[in-house]
Amino acid sequence: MKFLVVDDSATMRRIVVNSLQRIGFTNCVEAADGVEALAKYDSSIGFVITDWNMPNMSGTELVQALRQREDGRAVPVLMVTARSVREDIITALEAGVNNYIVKPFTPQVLKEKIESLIVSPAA
Amino acid sequence: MANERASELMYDTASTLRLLDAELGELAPRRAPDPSPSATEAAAAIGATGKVLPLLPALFVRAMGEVHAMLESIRTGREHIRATTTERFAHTNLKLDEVSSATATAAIDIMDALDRAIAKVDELETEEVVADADKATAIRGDLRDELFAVMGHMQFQDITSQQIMHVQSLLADMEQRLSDIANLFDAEAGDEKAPLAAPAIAPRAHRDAQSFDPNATLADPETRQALADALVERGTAGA
Repeated sequence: MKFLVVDDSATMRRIVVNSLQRIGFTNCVEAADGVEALAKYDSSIGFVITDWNMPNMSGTELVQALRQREDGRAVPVLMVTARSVREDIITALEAGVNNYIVKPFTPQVLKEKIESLIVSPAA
Repeated sequence: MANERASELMYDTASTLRLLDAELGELAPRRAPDPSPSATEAAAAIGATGKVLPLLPALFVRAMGEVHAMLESIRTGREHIRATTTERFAHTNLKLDEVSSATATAAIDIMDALDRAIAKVDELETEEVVADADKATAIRGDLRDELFAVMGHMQFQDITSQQIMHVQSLLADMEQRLSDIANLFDAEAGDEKAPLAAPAIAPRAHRDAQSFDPNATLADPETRQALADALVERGTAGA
């Protein structure tokens, strides 16, 4: 499965990509914000992991844009963000995010959330 | 002789009043016209009547009004400055404390993980483990986990970066407020000098405004994740 990892922090992208590799997912594409992510997104992407706070286009805006596209309507989206206020989490879910990880996270949490969405992509 | 001295005195008084009028005019160029006589008008009246004293009270009342308005502006500016400095600086200080605390926490976590990794390496070199291949494999696995945990702790960089961006935005806000106050004084004084230099921090902070979460923290990730899980579960159940 091909992952699209979106975060404006190069450190975070590297941590997420290394975590994915460690749990067996080695095919990753990286983007630094929502605009770059949309440009790199195509039907070969099977999973999107995105941050919320980014310049140019935020994570929630990216998800909304993806849900407008025919090839992005059903792709699983996992948000990995420092935002953890109740209202923010609800906003992300309403925007179309499938699951939510609060930073800082452990590789175990990342693995669990990915598996939950791969096993049950409609969730 | 006495007439000559009186003329000189009158001339000096008229000049002084003109000067006073010009200064007051500069202090409040945009103010509505004052019904009391201006110093120029008073000077003309003195020239015509030769009497100074009857006009002085009205002139002093006018001058007092101008000075009072200036004092009021200064008082308002002082209140703005007080509010800006005490509240904003306190908040900025709090945020910098968070950065410092997050950095210290991450550094301790990293050092703990490295200590455990070093202990694993030491264990690998014991005779008992050297003789037991399965045990050595298990310890190497633990060692990898510890080293990988170090990478996970590097997430502090992302969190502290967001906290610092928030501090930057607070500084930019203070810079803008202080600049506004300075411009207020310039306007009051009718200063026609070149405007102050454009704020240095504000444009960057504005650009980065959506790049950070002002509440970003390393504290208590388990509880925050539990809240997210509960809301996701509720959303999934309701779908």
